[in-house]
Amino acid sequence: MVNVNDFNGRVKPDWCPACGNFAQLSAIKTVLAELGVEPHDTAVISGIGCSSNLPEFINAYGFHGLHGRVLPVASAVKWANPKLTVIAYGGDGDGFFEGTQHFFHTAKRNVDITYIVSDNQVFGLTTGQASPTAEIGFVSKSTPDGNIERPINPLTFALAAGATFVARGFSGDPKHLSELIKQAILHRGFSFVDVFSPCVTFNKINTYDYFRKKVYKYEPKDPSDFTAAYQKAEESGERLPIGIFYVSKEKRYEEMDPVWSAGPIVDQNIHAVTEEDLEEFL
Amino acid sequence: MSRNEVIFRVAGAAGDGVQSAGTIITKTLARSGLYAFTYNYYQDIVRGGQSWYQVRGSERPVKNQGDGLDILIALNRDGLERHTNPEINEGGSSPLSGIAIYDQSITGFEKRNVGYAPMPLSEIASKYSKNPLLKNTVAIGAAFASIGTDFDILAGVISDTFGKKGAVADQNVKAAREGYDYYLKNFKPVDVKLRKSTKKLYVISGGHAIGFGAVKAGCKMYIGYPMTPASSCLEFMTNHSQKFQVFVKLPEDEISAINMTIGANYAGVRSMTASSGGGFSLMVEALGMAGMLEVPIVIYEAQRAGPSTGLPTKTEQADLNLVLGASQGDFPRIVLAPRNVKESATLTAEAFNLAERFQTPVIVMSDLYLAENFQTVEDLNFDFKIDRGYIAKENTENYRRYLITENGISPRSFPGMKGLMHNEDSDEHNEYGDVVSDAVTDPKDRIRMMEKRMRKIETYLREMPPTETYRAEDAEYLVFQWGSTQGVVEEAIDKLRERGIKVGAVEVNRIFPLNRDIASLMKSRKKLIVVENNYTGQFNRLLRSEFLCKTELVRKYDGEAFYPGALADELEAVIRRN
Repeated sequence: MVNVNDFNGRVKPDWCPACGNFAQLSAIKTVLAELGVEPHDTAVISGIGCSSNLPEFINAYGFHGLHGRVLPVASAVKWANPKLTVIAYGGDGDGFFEGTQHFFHTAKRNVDITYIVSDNQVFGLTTGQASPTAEIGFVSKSTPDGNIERPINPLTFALAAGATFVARGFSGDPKHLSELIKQAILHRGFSFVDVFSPCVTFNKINTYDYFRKKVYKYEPKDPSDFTAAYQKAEESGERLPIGIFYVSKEKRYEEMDPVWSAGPIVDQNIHAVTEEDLEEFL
Repeated sequence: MSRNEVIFRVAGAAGDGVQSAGTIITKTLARSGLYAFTYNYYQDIVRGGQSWYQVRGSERPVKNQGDGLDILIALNRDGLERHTNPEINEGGSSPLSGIAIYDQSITGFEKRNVGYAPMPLSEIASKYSKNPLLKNTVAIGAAFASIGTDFDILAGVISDTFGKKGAVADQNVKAAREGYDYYLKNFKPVDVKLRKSTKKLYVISGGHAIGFGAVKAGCKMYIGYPMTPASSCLEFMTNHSQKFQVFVKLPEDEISAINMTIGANYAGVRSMTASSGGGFSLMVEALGMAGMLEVPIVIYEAQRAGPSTGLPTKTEQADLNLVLGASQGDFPRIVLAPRNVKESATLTAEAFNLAERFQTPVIVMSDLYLAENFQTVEDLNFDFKIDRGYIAKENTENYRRYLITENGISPRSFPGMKGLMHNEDSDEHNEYGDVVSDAVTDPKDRIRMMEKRMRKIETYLREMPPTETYRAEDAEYLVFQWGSTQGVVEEAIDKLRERGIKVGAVEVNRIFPLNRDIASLMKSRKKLIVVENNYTGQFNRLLRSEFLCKTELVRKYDGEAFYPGALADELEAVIRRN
């Protein structure tokens, strides 16, 4: 039996007290234990940012890489060893600025990994600049007169890219968030969970109270209805839906390349070159 | 006395089938047990322009494309005029000595003092097929007739090239036969004598050999974005992905490519990526991460003429500074540069062992000259033993991924292994992988980790094989070359030795770190001369800074490779200069 405490990392999280990341770390650990995934079969990959420090705080195979580059690393880990549960984790700056092209293409490829984004509309680690999800008018170190650039919508972006599982949670509702993450990990294919995760230090607008007033739980009648999911994902303003927006069954990348027919690449034998192999060069 | 080697040149526009013709010639030589070396002169264009493909064949091993020209197959008027005119005879130091084979419809050009063989190439071809490229096969038949090669060997190559026993193969063999016979009936043989041998010779390019070496070394994931001249390796891996069971991925960009390569190696699978300078520039940040995380990776960097987009189809050795200096901070890296096609395979295979043994990035540098040109290789299936380095045992108590050791090498573990969970961090970390940069930076930890990582270079230096030399023992003048210029430098040295000059060469394939034995090789020489294919003398600067030596520099940066005759003359001038 796997216990949630088995996932306790060697290092205590050093996030600001009440940071939204705590709820996500706790949800990930709880869900992994619930699903009976062993720490040694778990790879947690991240980029750079406050949230990206998470691999240090969990007992698993952690990889704390470069800003924006979480998804290529996570994809290749999964491809090398599909037996692993691979969780890619990072912030909105990491994922939707420098990592945009990887986000798009990883979603499109339907690699069987789970990507959780701690979305707080601000850069925390660099002490408070506007992120790609910052709302118009958001005042920050990089936008002292208010942000004039429209925010990106991670959900519609993921849907447009072809993600096969798209969800949004809220760090202020850890139980609901855990359920989303559970379904995301169970999903066979690329699963994306955007999490409203208040930054208590650098974002005084998008606070817990702000989200508590706006969020409501949404459950689609037909999770495979793309148009409905897209329309729902576009909702903004006073009411913000959270829940699983879209699920579709598509072939995973790992099902389509014949290389995996011989088992996980990491377990495959090395091809011993024979004289016969060389005949084509004669 | 007739020569026992031959240089063919097929000249035409892109889309004329120049390269295919060159490949048939090369394979025919190899199957006759003759050594061959090819040189592809082409432009960044899919159709049109002017390109040519040179094939040098010989009874003895050939190390470069050679000087001069014996047999020209001109597929258009421009090709005929250009390669019979000694003044604009690119590359080679002497004009056409044998014969020019071309279609008789080309007339009214300025005649030179060379042999001409106007032939009804298109007319013969039209008897067998509407495909205009069939006339190339007729010309190839004529070319081999001119040196008396057995037609059967050529027929075998043509048949294999065009799909064994199919109708197209049949048309081509017949057309070649008619070209062959037509030449014998109407023209004199070229004064070249090549004795066949029973040697088994493989024909492979440097780029393909890189891929082959990787397969031998157990590379199971190849991730690369196409860029000339690294694409030939990508193409090899794609074409052989089923046969050699290699996962090949072309991702969204080179940043993704290197991060995926790091991810795969982190997960325990030997993986490599490749690009030219432009793509490598995008990989720079992740290169340093591999150094910091101590994740082994192999990067194949195939240089072309820069800067920026530069001359995409031309050769240069001007990325050395880039490769040596890429990524912020100090971390150990190993840079190798194969000197010929065979070594492109063997050194790449070794690169995988080095990467895993020293848990750090290994960059294999080649260039367009070596990557895209084919050479005959005798023993392609070389002996190789995989060494995966120091891997921890499952459930090791108090496991420390970055254990401080004397040789700097710590025990690796892969996700999925029991009881070895840890964090790999691009932040500075301690032995456990815990970040030391956040709450309180511990300078002692920092120093220990930095020194541990850098000690790996010392360990590598202690076991590095001695630097190889060529006719250097009694040499008063010593030429330093690195990478692809080995073959041309050796031939230039042979020429200078014939002129009575005591000259030899140091042939460097381990570029960084440099073997310290080079210091003793430098002693008591009259002059040290560095030869390289770039403007600023990047290797020259490295040698000077490492060994505080005085050197002379011979450079070439027109986008073409060195030629042995011209290089010999240039070296002689440097040697005679006061």
